Amino acid sequence: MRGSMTMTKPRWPKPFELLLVWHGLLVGSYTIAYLTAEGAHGLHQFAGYSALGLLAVRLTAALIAGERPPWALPLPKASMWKNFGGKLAHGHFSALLGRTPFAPLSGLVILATLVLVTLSGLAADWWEWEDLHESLAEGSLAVVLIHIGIVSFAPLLKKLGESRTGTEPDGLTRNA
Amino acid sequence: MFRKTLTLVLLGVLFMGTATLTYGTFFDKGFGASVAGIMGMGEGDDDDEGEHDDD
Repeated sequence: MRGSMTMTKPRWPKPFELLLVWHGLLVGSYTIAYLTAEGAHGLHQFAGYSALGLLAVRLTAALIAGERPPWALPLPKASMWKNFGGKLAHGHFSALLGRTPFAPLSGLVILATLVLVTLSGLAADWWEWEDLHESLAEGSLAVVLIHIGIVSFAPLLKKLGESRTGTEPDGLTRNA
Repeated sequence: MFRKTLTLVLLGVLFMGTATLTYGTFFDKGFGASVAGIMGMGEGDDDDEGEHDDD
């Protein structure tokens, strides 16, 4: 059937888009598992096993991908630290607006933490490991909040800078 | 990119919330209890496994 509509050709999602979808699902299962931890054991198990499955998928993909981005493990490279540190040492604080090595580092810490949390949850289904699982899960919230802070810091700072320069009259310089 | 990530995070929460609610409705304690559970107001699972020690 011919029509006047413009047809967009469907395409396969890019690996990075798939990673974002995976990230969204992991956040979803973590959030639901956290919310259902106190009073809904069945739902908590469902969300927890989903998180465990998603982590297994991530680690398997990282194993297959090797060092190829974006599915490689987010290891902050030494060159990234050197470059970032050098910029800060020379007073180029604009380096904070870009991708800092803290972002992949916090991602890596989160992955490791969530693997421990989900495995301890799995173990708690068989043995008396509830206390360990609860402690790790409570601690993981702090790690998650730090990760959110790190990845949101640069875009928020950028936005703030843009809005400031947008409202300030030309010719005025700000104290750096 | 930040906005795209945030959108997918919210969609992920929505998807997992729906999936968990579906599971809870059909295989756990029903719709009402599942909604309460997801909202963090669950009543616990003391009688969950049919372990009635008093019987």
